[in-house]
Amino acid sequence: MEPLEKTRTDAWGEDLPEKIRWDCYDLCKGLPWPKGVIDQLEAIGIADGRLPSRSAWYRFLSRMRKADAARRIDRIAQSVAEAQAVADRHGIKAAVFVETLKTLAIDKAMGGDDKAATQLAAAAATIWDRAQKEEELRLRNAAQATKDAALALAREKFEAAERRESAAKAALGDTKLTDEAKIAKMKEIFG
Amino acid sequence: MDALDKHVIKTALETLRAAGGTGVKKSALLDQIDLAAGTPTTDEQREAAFSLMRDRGWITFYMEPIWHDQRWTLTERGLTALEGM
Repeated sequence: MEPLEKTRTDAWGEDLPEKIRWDCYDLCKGLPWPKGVIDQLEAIGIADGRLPSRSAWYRFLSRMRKADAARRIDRIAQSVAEAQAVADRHGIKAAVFVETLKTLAIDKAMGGDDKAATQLAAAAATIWDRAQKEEELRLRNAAQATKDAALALAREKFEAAERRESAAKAALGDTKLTDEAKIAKMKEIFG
Repeated sequence: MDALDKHVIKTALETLRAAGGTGVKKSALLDQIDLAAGTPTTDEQREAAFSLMRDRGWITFYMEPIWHDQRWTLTERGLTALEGM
């Protein structure tokens, strides 16, 4: 986004490298003037002669707040794209889950923590993976139980057939029985 | 609407455009309005900017199904307004 007004080239902080400028803003924005801010700026490495006056510091903060708003917009766009990429990478199709990933990512990016946004989205995707694997395992166990039941039934049928075969052999081998009695016995065995 | 107001509103609408259909919470949008203004704003100023967007039909909300939060998104009208800014 275009800045609202031009910044003087000699404004405090304009000569600092961008990373240092953001460090000054991120680390000092909540600190009281002058003690907290000056101590922190010195810790960052801003030398004594380059420390800002109070009004220069507040003008710097004002400029950086506007830039921060623009930075957050970029972070939101990146987080949404990252959440979508995580969803695609993990094969997540459920719209509610993809939307939840984006929600987490955006909320974290709005809080100024885009790394956490990505980590959260990745963590959520890992949970999704785990849930998917558990569901797969449950389905596999259910399929195995069905297969076991079918096998038990087949075994039962086989054993019944074996019992009938043994009874028939015994009846045929029985010399005391007449042919009519053997036929009657066979009918009884095989139904 | 003066230049600063316009800048603040534009930033808020840009934020919603970046968030797409997922949208953002009202508190986050108010924070963004506060940042875009440069100097800290009062609750009334933030609410005024928010109401302006809502009353013109530029933004709308939906209930997020997991946490049941209201999330604000950009409307078609809001997008047109943003493109015209």
